[in-house]
Amino acid sequence: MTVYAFYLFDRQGNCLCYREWSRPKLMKDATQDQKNTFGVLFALKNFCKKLSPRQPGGQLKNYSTDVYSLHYFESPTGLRFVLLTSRGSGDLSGVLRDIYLNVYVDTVTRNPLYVPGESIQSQLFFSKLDTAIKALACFQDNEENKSIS
Amino acid sequence: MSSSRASTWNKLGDAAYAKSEKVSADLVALTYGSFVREIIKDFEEPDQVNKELEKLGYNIGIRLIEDFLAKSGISNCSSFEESAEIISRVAFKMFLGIRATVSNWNSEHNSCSIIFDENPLAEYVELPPEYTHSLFYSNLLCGVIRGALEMVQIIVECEFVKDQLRGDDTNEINIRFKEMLQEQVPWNDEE
Repeated sequence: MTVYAFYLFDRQGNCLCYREWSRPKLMKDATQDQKNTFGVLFALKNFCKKLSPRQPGGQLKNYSTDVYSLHYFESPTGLRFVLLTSRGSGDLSGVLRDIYLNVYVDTVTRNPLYVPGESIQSQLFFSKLDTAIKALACFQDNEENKSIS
Repeated sequence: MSSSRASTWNKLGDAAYAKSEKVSADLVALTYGSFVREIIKDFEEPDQVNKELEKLGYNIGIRLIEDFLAKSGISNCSSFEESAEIISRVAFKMFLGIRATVSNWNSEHNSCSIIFDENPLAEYVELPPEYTHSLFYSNLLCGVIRGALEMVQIIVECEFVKDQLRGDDTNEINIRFKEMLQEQVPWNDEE
């Protein structure tokens, strides 16, 4: 199992942070990739709401293809945390929630130099995010995969 | 508002208050006091000072909301009434150490007041006579509420209607619900 990449978007669709660990397929145009990802999730979220038998509709947590899984967490303030992993990594939306509560709030919101809506430059955020992701059980095989690809 | 939910929120507020780090109330009161003095020096006109304090609060509010959600564990409110109760029972307790009450709902249920007797910002403060009818000393709080709610898509207007510094019996902030923002696709692919 592998962790491929992490995205953080705000409500307006700005990509505040993009990190990748081992993404075998290189993206030609990172901005376009981020825009597409946000667009898909935006549509999927509304779709999930429409299908929901109860109101208010539940939140999208993850989806899987036969190759990869996408995990999703959205804060009430509209921040969208996205993690791409290989299949079989279980539900990681709770992990993304922890990243929001313990990493984002501590290192970004509380940083007076951070201007809301701009991409995150905080090294502390990156390193804490990195630690959180590398601690995941499904991260273990990242190094192996790298050598194969 | 059912009393069981109210007491749940009270407990949430107490828990969040117990968990958070405290600073000396004197430090806050005195720092805020010198802020206000400085703004009065810069802008002179009390109306303008009120506006600046509100703006300052707004910028605090749009950040404070994340901290609030993280510490309180509250996710989504189902109505404006619930939001108002949570502000007064959880948020006021968490950040100011006091509990406020919500009342004075209008018949359309889109306007209410948050009432609190104790105001940690205004401790030791006496307004000189020329300001008692123009300056809202704690107008920062209005901005904080407006900024925080805007981040969760609720647009409100806030203003002080009673202030103990003006000789009123209590402090009262009026909140008027304006609209609920809908999420929109941020860009148009046709362009």
